[in-house]
Amino acid sequence: MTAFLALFALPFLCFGMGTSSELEHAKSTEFCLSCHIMEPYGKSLRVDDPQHLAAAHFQNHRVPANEACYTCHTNYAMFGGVKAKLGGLRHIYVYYFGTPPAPENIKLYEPYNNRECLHCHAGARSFEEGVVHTADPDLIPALKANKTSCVSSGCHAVVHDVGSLKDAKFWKGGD
Amino acid sequence: MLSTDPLERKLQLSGIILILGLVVEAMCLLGHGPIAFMLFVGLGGVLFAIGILLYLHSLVSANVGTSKQ
Repeated sequence: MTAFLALFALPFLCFGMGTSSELEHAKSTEFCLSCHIMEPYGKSLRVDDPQHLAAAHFQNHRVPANEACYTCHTNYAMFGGVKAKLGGLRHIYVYYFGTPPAPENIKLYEPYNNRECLHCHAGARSFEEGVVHTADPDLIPALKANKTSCVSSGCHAVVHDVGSLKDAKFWKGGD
Repeated sequence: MLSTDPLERKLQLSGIILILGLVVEAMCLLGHGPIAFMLFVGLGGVLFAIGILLYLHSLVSANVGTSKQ
């Protein structure tokens, strides 16, 4: 019985708890920004300009500051977390064994889905009754159906403008 | 020093591998980057799997030996 506990049950428990802890830690902003290639993206969260979508979300805590990357870049469909983790493994592979692109050339694997925005914004007064959103009665249904993109249709187009960081002014707070 | 009895030797080996796995996993939990995560799952997980499988194999092979006798 002791051997069973020590050589079977305990390792399973340790591995399970450790994996859970590591997976939780892998959601943190600190974890994502620990790769040097992501540093400009971390900096872009501190740009002092409300037109910068990611910066405005991070600085105003529209997303949890300690899980900023994960909150927007995970997929809110079934197995979204698993898909995000597999994507992360691919990043590690490319970073260490492939040729990583320059930070400004990093692209999403697939176009950003409005579902990720609407996970929080759907039903919110600022979204449903916003002046621009209600100006055209077809806009909100098109946004909800992902036919018009929130980020690439010209409305919230500046997300992580890592190419223009050298001229940007940065917010010093939030540490 | 490992025992001369085959069952005990396998159990000891399994224990040693599992302790190594535990040490690796504990060290990885102190790290904060993706490499720590990869080592945790890759190295620690493999050591755990080998240790557990060796333990199970030692039990099964001991039972086979006993039933043959």
